[in-house]
Amino acid sequence: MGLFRSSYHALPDEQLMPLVAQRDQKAFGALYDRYGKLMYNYFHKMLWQDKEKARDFTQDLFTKLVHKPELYDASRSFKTWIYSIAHNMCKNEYSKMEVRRNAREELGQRPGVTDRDEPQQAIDREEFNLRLTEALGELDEVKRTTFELRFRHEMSIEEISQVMQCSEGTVKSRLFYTLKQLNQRLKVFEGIA
Amino acid sequence: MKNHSTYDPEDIESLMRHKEFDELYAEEKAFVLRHLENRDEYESIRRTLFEIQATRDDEKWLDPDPSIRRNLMAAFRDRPAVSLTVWLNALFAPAPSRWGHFGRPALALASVMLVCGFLFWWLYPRPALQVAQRIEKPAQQRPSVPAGKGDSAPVLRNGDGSALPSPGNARETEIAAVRTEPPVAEESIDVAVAEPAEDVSLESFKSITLSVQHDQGVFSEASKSPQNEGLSEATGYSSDDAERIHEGALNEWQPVTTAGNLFGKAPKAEKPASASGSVATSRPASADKGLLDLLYTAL
Repeated sequence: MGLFRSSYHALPDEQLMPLVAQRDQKAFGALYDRYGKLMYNYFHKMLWQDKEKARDFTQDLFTKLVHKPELYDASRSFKTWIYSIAHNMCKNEYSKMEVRRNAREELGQRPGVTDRDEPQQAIDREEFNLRLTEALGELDEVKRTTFELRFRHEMSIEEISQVMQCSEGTVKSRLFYTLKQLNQRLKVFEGIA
Repeated sequence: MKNHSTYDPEDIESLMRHKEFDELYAEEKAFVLRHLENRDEYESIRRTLFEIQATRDDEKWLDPDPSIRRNLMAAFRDRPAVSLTVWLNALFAPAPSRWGHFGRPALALASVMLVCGFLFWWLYPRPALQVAQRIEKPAQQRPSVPAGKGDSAPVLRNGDGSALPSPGNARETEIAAVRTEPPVAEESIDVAVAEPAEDVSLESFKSITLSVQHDQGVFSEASKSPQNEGLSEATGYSSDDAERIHEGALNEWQPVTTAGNLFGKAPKAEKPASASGSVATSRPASADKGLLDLLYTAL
């Protein structure tokens, strides 16, 4: 077993999870090193660039992994499994935020949508990124999730379909219409690349 | 490129990644224009797609707070007992994906039990299965007995192990008496039979006859009982045969019979067994035809 311990980072995720269940702390550390940063950035993007939320959600996600490793189905890919959990956590958060938003609107407050000035003609990529982030924030969470998984986390269509529990055709269709919608928002930035 | 006959609308992204609008085949252009307005829109979306991909390379990935890792490691150390489920799931982790259902805890547990059972069966030392045991006995001299029905008759026994009265059993009893040394004259009347034919005295022969008569009566009654149905069929003797033999013996030896030992008094049943135990005088020594022949020969 000592030989195994020295090569945790070479083991696939699916073999690390049983070791985690056997209280192998190094195996858990290896998993966190692989997915901690990804999950943190995923939550950061999906939860309105809120670092505090991203921090809390990342910790909650891995805490579930610590206390309930039996939730992992060995027949599935670990990557799609952990992204599924993250996706569901975000959906729950969206539902909570929707309730709060409705409550604010009932109180006569406007939702926190920032009105920005028209972008300048001379822009750089940083500005483009900022506008892209804003445009993504205006998308519904399904399209935003699809976009994030596809273009930022570079997941395949099949993996996205497993994470979001839908068909591959649905994923492709969502991606196409997301691109079309973003194109309308970002048309002024054409040619910067 | 493969010439597609049919397209899904979601395949436009794939076309955009690989081809400009002018590079599309006629069928592909027709397909694209069903979902987009014109060439400019196709090219615009295509540029946006590449720009988005470029932003990923330039995008700075945030590093999570190191305190997250510390907290998680502390939680990992303090977590409760090991989960059996994932351990079981791990058994089939290297298996092909089509065996994924074996990862379910119930099936995994059943499989483990099956394997353990097989190993236990395979490795556990167990005695060889023995149906019968052959015991070597020194050859014993048996008196020459004329062939009769009793030679082939099986020995039947009751539930408590005692032999049922039958001609065959009676014969065995007599043969056992022959082997007993030394004979006790007043205790076993059968002992006299063991003597050679030339030495048989009239007194002992009369006693033998009385014993046979008495035992014949017991056998006759026993063979008529309902619980011994089939006994006649098994032994080859019927109750009629026994009575006939019995009556024949009486007629033969009536003149020399002495009183006090006939029909129902069963004096031998109250006797204790002999020292050797082989002279089972309480056992019904039925009137075996072979035995009578032996007696005739002795005389």
